[in-house]
Amino acid sequence: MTEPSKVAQDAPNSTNPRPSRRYSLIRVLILSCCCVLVLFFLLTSMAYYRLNDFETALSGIATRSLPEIVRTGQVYSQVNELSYLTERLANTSTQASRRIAYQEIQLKTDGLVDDTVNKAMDSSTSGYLQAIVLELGSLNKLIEQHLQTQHELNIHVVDMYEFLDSAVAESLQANQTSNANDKNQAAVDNWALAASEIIALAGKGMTSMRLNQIRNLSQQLAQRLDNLLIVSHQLPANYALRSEQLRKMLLDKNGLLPLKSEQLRIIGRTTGHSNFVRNLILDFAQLMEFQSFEYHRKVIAESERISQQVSQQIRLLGLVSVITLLLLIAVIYFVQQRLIKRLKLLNQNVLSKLVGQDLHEEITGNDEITDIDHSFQFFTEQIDAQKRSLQLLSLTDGLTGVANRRALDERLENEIVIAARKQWTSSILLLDVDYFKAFNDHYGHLKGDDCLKQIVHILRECKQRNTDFIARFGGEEFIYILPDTALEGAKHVAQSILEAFSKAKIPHAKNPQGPFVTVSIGITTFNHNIQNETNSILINADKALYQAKTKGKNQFQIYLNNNNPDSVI
Amino acid sequence: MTTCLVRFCSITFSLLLLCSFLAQAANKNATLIFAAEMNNIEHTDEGSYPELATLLKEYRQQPQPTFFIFGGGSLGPSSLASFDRGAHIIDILNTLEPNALGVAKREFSFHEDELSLRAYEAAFPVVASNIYDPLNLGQLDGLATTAVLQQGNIKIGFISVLDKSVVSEYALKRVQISSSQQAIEKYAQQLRQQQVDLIVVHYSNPLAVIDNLLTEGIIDIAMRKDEHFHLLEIAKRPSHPNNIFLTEATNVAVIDIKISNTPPKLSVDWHIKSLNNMTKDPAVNHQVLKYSAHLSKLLDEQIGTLTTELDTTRLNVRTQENPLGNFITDALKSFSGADIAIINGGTIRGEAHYDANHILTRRDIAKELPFRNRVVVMEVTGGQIIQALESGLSQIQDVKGRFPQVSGLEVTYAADHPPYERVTAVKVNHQPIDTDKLYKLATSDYIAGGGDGYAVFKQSKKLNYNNQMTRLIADIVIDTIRRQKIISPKLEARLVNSNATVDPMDD
Repeated sequence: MTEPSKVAQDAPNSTNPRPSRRYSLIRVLILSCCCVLVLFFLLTSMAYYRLNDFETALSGIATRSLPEIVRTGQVYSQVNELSYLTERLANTSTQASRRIAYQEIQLKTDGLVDDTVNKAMDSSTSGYLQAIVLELGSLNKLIEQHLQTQHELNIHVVDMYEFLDSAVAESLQANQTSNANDKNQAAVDNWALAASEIIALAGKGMTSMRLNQIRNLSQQLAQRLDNLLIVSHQLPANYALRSEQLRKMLLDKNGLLPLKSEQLRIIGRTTGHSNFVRNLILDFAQLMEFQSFEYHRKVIAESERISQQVSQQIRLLGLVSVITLLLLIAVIYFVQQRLIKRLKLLNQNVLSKLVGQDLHEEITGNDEITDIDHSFQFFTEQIDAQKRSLQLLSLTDGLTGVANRRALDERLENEIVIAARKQWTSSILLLDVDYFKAFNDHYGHLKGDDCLKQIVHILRECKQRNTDFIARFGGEEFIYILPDTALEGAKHVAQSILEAFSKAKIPHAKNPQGPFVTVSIGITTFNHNIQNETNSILINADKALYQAKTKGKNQFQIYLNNNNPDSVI
Repeated sequence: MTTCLVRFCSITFSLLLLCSFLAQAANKNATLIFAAEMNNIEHTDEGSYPELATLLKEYRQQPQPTFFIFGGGSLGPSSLASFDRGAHIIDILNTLEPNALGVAKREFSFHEDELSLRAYEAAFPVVASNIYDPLNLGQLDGLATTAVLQQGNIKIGFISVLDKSVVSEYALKRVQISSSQQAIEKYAQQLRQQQVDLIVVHYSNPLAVIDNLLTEGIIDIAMRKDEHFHLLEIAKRPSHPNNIFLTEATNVAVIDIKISNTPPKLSVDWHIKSLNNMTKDPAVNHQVLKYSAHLSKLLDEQIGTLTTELDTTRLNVRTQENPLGNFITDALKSFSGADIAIINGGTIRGEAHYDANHILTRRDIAKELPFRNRVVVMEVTGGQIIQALESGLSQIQDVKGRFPQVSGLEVTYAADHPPYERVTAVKVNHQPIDTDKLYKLATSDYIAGGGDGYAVFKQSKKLNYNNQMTRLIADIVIDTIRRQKIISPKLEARLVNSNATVDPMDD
């Protein structure tokens, strides 16, 4: 065991090179926390914005697209109604029903026009609508004209039959009353017949639906009327007048047959025009249907896109949350590894130190935990050092600085064991300062202490080997342990001590032996054979010392195994 | 002395009068005006109905009786006709008062029943001599088989025959066309028995037998107009002097007829009169303008700019790949999501030439695509496509409307091969065609129904497609142009004639 010495106070932050880069725990923890927080924030904000977008899109669909779809569908159905109403208009037979039908149409078209004005429709749609409105107007006029003509025609027909009734019947009557001769009567009959035939023909013509038939009929009637006129020349003047009247009625510009032609032409135009309008409306309906379908398709595509986006976002969010979870687990693991484990290690180190086992496991890294570890190490070292120094202190004699009784007992035990093991002989020298009490009485205790110190100094000088051990046995007694030293060697050492003392010449006025301090030494040896017990060795050494003392002091005596100690000078 | 002179003069005068009267009783004179194929009233810079009205008035004011026979070919196609099914033509004709109208192919533009309606609206007989309607077990409703036209003391027996090709070209589902020759011979005999002075036959497709009938005296005058005659081989031009043949769109024939009783002889002398640069009759012009004004707002709407020159004349769309044909089929293909698209060149009727940077209006497209055809999508095999192409390429020399315009196909053909053996290679979207593979084909309902000889598609399965709203092809094209705003259709070697030496214009 080495001599107790001052333990170097090793501060933790000395100039030793750091093992690795410093990752401050605080920073690391803050970083991980921030990481988690940021991810969490990212996640929530992503979710929030996506949900927001989705909400906007949905509300867009609900407030714009769906109503728009409904509206275009409504427009389409309205246009279909328009088609039906147009048919009704084309088939009206009185002016009143025509007016009613046209009013309804106008209502419908007004509604449609308002609709297109409200929603900015493209130019072709409004163009169509304008065209439809215009053409419906002209169709209405045509039908009005047709009904008017029909009406006039009916009046003319009635007139014609009235003529038949009045003129022909009259002439027949006149014939009967007058006293005309047979020839005249026959002529009148002829005239009446011809006139009737003409009227019948004209009446038949009214049922015709063919313009060229009417034209042929007109020619036929013209011829017949000419004949009628010729016939009427043979008759009184009023007959000619009547013939003219009939001609006018039938063939004049506003006559029956031209009117019938006009009617047929108008019917033709009306059919053509209503075909025209119907196709226009059909096209418009198709355009509306197509636009509605397109819009519908766009909305579906849009919502599909949105739902795709949403599922994408869901996937993304899922991914991000999984990542966040993994990161969280990583952080926890990280914390566990770097923090918890190392703290546990630290704790273990501390505990082991407390228990006394110095199982210092190296803690990796370079941060607050290693700081604690190093601090702890430092303090344990401090404590160890203090313990050592305390221990040392407990084994040292305060005054002289040599080992004390306790240390001696320990050492002696040790030497006994070693001697047994190594099979060697060791010796001890028990020294006693001669007449020390008198010295103390004479010089005072302080001087006495000084003397002891000097004595120790001398003894130390005499120490020949490092393994030799000096201890203060009592007030003025010292022991010298000489391991692996037989009797001869011990005697030699004792002798050199005596000589050292006489050389030192420490003044001692009250020493009867001389004016200087002297000592008496008792020597004994021990090994595993002879004796191996501390007490007995000391007793034997004491016996030898007593011998030295009784034989005159300032000498050494050896303890031998029998009761007759050999005294040697 | 003077009384003697007066008496002598009056006697000679009356004798002369008597002679001339007798002579006139022996000779009958008339004028016959023949016009036809006036389906588009909007060509206001060319001679049309207003000018014809002026001409008719001129002749009708003269003492000599004037007949006016209209040779049909006018109820369609035009943008206005697609709306009112040709009613406006009948209305205008009513003002002109023809003695008869001979039905030609285009009268069937809106199919049989619409023609019946028009016939009822007409102030004149609508004559078709070789039609059979199974519904009536006879003539189509409203039409006349023959007509006896009388002006003054002349009676004309009028016959009008159609060619069988009208059934396939106009996709007629009901009526049948019987032999022209037989009809002519039968009715000529019938009419002669009704003491007509001459028989006039109107026909609208080349009919070789006419010359013979004229030579044999079975018929007296034959009339035909074909404004696209210049596209055909000259060999088909009629040879008989009484076989009146008009070839210019704005020409009419003025025929002087002299019938002498002793000896019975008919002399026919005719000349061509151009309606261009004649004055327009104000009443008819007003009528025409009023009709033209219909839809003007709608039709004048501008839809896009055409950056390249474009020609849609008959020869150009019916004998070779046409850029507009490419554009239309591309539009159909993308609208319906099909693999390929085919339409017949005859769908394109504009007969127009557009300069570069022409601004297209709805009117232009309505003119080009006046028929109300809709898109149909079908599933067809590669083999059927090849058959269809053979069908379409079989009458190139006759400049027929069946010539295909395509999208998604690259066809190589040899025009000098016999018909139905002309296709040499076909690629679908740059891959050689697989005859067993099923392809999605977009086409018009006319073709899908087997029109223009495309019978191969009649049995194919019709597919539903995205935009099932049956949109008119014209509207689809208008939408496409509107969307792209600037279009530059061009030739893309979709239909390549491997021997380009065949030129239908060669003699």
